[in-house]
Amino acid sequence: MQASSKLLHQELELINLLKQKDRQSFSTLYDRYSPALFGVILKIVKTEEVARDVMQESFVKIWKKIDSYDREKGTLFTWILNISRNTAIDKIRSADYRHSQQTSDINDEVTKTQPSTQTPIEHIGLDTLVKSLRIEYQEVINIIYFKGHTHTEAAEALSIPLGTLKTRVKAALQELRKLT
Amino acid sequence: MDSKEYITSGKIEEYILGLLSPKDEKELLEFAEKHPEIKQEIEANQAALNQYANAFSQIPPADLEESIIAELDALAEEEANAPQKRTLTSSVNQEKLAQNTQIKTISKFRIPLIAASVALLLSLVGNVLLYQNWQNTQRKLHTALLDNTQFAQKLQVNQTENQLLAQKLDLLKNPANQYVELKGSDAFPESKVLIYWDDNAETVFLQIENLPEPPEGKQYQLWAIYQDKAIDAGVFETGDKAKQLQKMKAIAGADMFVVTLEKKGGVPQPEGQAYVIGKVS
Repeated sequence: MQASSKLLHQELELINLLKQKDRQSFSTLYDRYSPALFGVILKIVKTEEVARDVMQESFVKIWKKIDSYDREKGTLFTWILNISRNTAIDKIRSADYRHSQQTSDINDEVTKTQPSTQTPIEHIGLDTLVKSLRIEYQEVINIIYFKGHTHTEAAEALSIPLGTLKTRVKAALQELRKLT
Repeated sequence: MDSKEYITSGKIEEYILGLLSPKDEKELLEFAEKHPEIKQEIEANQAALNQYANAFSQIPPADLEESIIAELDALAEEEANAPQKRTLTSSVNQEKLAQNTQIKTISKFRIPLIAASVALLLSLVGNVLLYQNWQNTQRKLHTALLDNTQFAQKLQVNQTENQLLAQKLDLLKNPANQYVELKGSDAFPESKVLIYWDDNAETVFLQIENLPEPPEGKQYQLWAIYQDKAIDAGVFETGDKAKQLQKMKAIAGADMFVVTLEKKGGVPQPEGQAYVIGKVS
């Protein structure tokens, strides 16, 4: 309890400094969260070149919008993670990105989420957590969380009924909670 | 829908994955506000998903932070300049304008940089001053140490002189001692040597008052003349030791004392020139 309250205190202090646009706090934020954000962005946009741009865009958004962030609605990490994730998803949906990714068929998405064809990048802690999560659970989370697909899109992409998808989403999260 | 139903419905999981419609999302959040167990459930699921996302962590390229900061920097500069375009309706605005103009070239991100530079500069100047101060102190200390050494030397000289005077005084106070002043011969009128002789103890002390430095290989030798015979009283030092009392060879009887310049180490009988001569009274 004490450790977590200390962490909370640190986070609140960081938020406070960020809201004051304190220069040092930005570096703290960056040091603390940039690997996680970059990892998620890279997972979504695939190439480092695009990931750089998205990362930059995301941090600028974070910096600009920090005033509107409300700790009551979730942790700072959740907030910045969602900003980065949404920025990355917007990117892959943009005409520009689609044009540049012409070669990879949009219908390939399903196979891409299969572990066997995942980009062989070294992930920190990926082995322990992700490998212990069942593949069908990884699939649903990845297709929704990293691709921004809706229920229907996801069910279609995975070729499963909508009801099955919903059940699987719930089960996937439950399992994830057990693992973390 | 009650709390249990919400938890089993799967809406919470859908919410954190961003699947809920805005209407459903609003409903859930409002419900969570009133039901802490729902809020807790949302947080727990969110934490698990965050950890999953975190598992994909990748160290970003090293130069990326700099690039982002440069953009934030430019942004801050823009913001600082922006209010200038507004019409100046109130004095408050004017004040703001004045402030903004002042900082227009100094963005929020550069201020710490400039502050750091100034601090560094001050620190460097401080270092130089401290160094100079230190050197000064070193010099002063050195001088003080030198002075100290000089004083110590002077003290030693004084102590030696004191000792000499005390010895002289002892010699003079001792009624057994005879004081003989050896005066310069015709060739060396400025020369002078003092002899303290105790004929009972047969001790002879010699003190040079003034004698020319002997040439290389030569040394002064003292003789006691007794019954027309020269008795060797020993050679003696000159120079640094010249002003000290030097104990000579024991002499039992003397009518006069003579100092001659002889070859170094002395000779059995005087051969060289006599420098000073003094009669025992």
